[in-house]
Amino acid sequence: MRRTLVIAAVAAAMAGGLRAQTVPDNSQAAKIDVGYRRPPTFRIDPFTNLHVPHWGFVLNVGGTAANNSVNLNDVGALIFLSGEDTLRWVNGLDALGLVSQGSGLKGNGEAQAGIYIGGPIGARVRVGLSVMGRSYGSVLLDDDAVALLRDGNGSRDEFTLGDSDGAGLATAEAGAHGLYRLGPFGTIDGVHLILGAGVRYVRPILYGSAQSVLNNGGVVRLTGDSISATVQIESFQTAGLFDGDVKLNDGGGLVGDFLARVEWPTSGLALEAMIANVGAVSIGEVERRTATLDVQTTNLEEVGDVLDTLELRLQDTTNITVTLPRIARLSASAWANRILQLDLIGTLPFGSDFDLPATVDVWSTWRFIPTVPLRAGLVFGGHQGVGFSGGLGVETRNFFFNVAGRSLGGLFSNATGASARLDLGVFF
Amino acid sequence: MSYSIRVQFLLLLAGALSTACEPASVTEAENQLGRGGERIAEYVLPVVQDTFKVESLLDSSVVVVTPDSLLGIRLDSRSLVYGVGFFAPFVSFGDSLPIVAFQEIVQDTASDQLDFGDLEDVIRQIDINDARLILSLSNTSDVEAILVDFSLAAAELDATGQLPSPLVYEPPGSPILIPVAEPGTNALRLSANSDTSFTLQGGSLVNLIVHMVLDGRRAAVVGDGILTTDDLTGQIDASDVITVQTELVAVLDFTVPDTGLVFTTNTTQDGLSIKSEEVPQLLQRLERADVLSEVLNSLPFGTELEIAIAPGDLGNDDVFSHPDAVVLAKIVVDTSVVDVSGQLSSAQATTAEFSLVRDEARALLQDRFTASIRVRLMGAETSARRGAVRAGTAVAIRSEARIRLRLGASQ
Repeated sequence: MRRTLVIAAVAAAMAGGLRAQTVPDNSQAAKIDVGYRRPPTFRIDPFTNLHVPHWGFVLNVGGTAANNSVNLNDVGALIFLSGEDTLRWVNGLDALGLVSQGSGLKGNGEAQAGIYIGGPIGARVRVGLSVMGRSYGSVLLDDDAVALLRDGNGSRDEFTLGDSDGAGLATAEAGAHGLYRLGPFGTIDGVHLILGAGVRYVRPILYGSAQSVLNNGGVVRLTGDSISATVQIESFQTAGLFDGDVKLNDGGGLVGDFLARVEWPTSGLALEAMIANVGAVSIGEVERRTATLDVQTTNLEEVGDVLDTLELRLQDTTNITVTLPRIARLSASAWANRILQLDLIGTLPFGSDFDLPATVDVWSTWRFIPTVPLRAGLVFGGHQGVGFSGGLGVETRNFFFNVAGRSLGGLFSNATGASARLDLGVFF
Repeated sequence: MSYSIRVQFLLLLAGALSTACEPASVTEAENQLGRGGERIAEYVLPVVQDTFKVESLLDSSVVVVTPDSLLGIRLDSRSLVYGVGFFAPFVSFGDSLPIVAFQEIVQDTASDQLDFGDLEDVIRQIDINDARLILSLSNTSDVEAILVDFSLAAAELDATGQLPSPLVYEPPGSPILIPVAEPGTNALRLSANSDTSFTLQGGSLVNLIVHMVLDGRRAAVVGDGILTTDDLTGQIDASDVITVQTELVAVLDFTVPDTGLVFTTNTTQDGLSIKSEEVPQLLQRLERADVLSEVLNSLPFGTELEIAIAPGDLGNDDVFSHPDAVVLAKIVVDTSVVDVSGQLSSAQATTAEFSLVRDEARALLQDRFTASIRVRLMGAETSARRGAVRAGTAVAIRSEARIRLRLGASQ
C-alpha cells in the first residue's frame, strides 16, 4: 500500500503540484458530474452508469482475465508450435517451468455485456434497469500438483492435488438499482451522501466445477519401489457441456448490491464503499460426475492402463447452490490540480465459490479537455503482480463513450492477463 | 448481448492477441516456453520389483517338492502290468519252481513328454546329481512273488517304441544299472495280495534318460530281472498281475561347469511410445538416466546378469547381437554361501548401478522393445560347484530408474 501511495504522489507532483482538496469553485472538479468522476472498472459494478445525471441508455461490454504464469507470448508460442505440428511434450514440461515454485497455477476471469437504461427522478433520485450477461471463472492448480511434473520426484516423493479446483458460471440477469442523494450538509458546498441499493435476478445458463473430494487433495506417492495414488475428483456441470448437446440449466436467485458514497463536490474528494453480488444462485439439473484413481502398484505400465480408463463418470443429477463472487470495493478519489484526478480503489473478494483475487487500482484521470478524459493507472495484487491501465473517454451531454484496457503482469505481449471495457451511451 | 456473441467477442480478442504474439520460428517459440529458467527435473520410477522363483520357470504340472524340500521335475510316469496267470500250471504240479526272466519297459519318455520349460537350456548343460525313482509294486495273487536280480536300466527305443533287438543298455559297454533288491540280497519279495512302495536314488540313470531325450532320442527305463516264487501252496488265478509303477523325479541338484551355466531369456515390453519425431529432442534433453538395481540371490549359485535392449519385438532372437542393441550392464551377484551338498546357507544381496546416456535410451522411448537377460550361474567352490535348489528359491530384483532431464531456458 505504501508503494501505491508513493506512486500516486509522484504522478500528481509531475502534473504540477499537489493541492488535493484545495480546488477552487471554478475547478474542473466542480464542472465534472459525479457520474463521470468514477473511473471505469473491469469487475462487477452495478452502479457504474447509474450516476449519470441524464436519461438514456448505455451499452457495455468488457472482461478481464489473468493468470500468474503464462503471458501472451507464451500463448502465442504454444499456438505457433501446435499449428506447425511441432508441439512436443518437452515443450509442455518447459512451460511448466513458468509456474513458479510455491505458487501453483492460478487464473481467473470475469466478463460481462449488457444494456442499462435509466436516469434521474427529481434532484435526488436516480434509477436504472439493466439486462446483462455475465460470466465468472477461476482455476487453481495447486503447486503440489504441478510439482510432480515440473520438478520431478527426485527430491520428494509425495504429492497431492492440494486445493486445486476450478469453477465457471455464465448467467443472464435483470436488475433494478437506485441512488438517493442526501445533502449538502452544513454549507452549500458541504458534503453529499449518496446511498444506493439494487437487486438483480440472476439465472444460470452454464456451469461447471471440479474439485478434489478427498481431504488435502488425496495422495500420489511415487518412489523407486512403487506407485500409489488415491485421488477422487468430483465435478458438477451443465448437462452436455462437453459433448455439444448442452441443456441449459434452470434455477435462479436474487442478489443484492449496496453503495455508500460521500462527496465534497467542489474539492473533488470522495470516499465510497460498495458491496456487490451478495447472494446465491440455485442451479438445477446439474450433472454430478466423479473420477477415482486408486492404484497401488510396482508397475508403471499398470498406472498407464489405469489412466487410460480414467474418466468422469456420471453419478446423478442434482440441484446445487453457488455463491456468486462477492466483492467489497473501497475507493477514494481526489483532485490533485485543475486537470488531474486520482483514484485509489481496493477490491476485496469475500465468501465466494470462486477464487477471485484482491486488487488495488490506482487511476489518474487527466482532463486537458474536460469532456475527453485520458486515463492511466497501475493495478497491484491479483494473480499477476503489477499491471498497467489506460483509457479514453468522451463525456458529453448526449453522448458517452469510454474505452479502457489493462495489461496485467507485464506490458502488452509480456502480459499474463488483460482487461478491456467499452461503454457506449446515449442520453436525451 | 447474448452469451454466444459475448463468447465470440472474447475468442476474437484472444485470437487477435495471440496472433499478434506469435513467434517467427519454432526455435523462437521453444525458447519462449523455456523462459522459466533452466532446471533439472529428476524423475524416479520403479522399473522392476519382482521375485523370480525357479518354479515359475517350469510348468507347474511337473513341479514336485521332495520330502527334503528340494525342487524336482516329475517325468511322465507309467505302470507296467505283468500278468502272472501263466504260473498257474506250475503251481498245480506243486513240485517245481516257476522261473520267468523278463526285460520290460517300465518308463517310456518321449521328448514331447519331457517339459523343462525355460530351464531346458540349463538342463542341457548340466549333470543331474540327484533323482528319485519311486517304485510302487502290487501283487494281486495269493502267492508271494520274488523279483530276483531285478534292476533298472536305460535303453533307446526304436521308432515304433519297441525295445531293440538285441537289447543294448545305455551307455553301451558300461550300462548304468540300478539294482532293486532288499538290503544284503539280490531279491525283492512281494507278499501275496500286497502293495509296497519305495524310493531309489537314481541320479545317474535319470540324468542319462534326460540327456538322451533332450538329444532327440526316445529313451526308456527297462526293468530287467527274474520273476519267481517259492510258495507252492498258494493259489494263482489267470487274472492275477504284478503291477510296477515307476515315477521319476529329477531333482534340481546339479553341478555347473567351470565356465558357468549360461542361459538367456527375452521379454518384450511396452516402451514410452514417444513419437519418433520427438525422440531426438527428448534425447537432447536427457542429461542422464541411471538404473539402480538391488538383487537378492537365494540360488545356490553365484550369478552374472547381462542386460541388453533393442527396439521392436524380437521374440527369441539374439538381442545381444542385434545391430541396434545396447548392452546396458553386467550385474555380478556374489556366489551364495552353500554347504557341501550344495544347499543354500546364506543368500547374497548385491547393488548395481548403470547409466544410460543419450542414444542408449532410444529403444526405451519407442512403442516396444525387447530386453534380453543373459544369466550365467557360477558354482560355489565349497560345494565343488554343486547346487541344490530348494522349493521357493528365488532371485528378488528391485530396480528403479532415475531420469534427469534438462528443461527450461534455451536448449
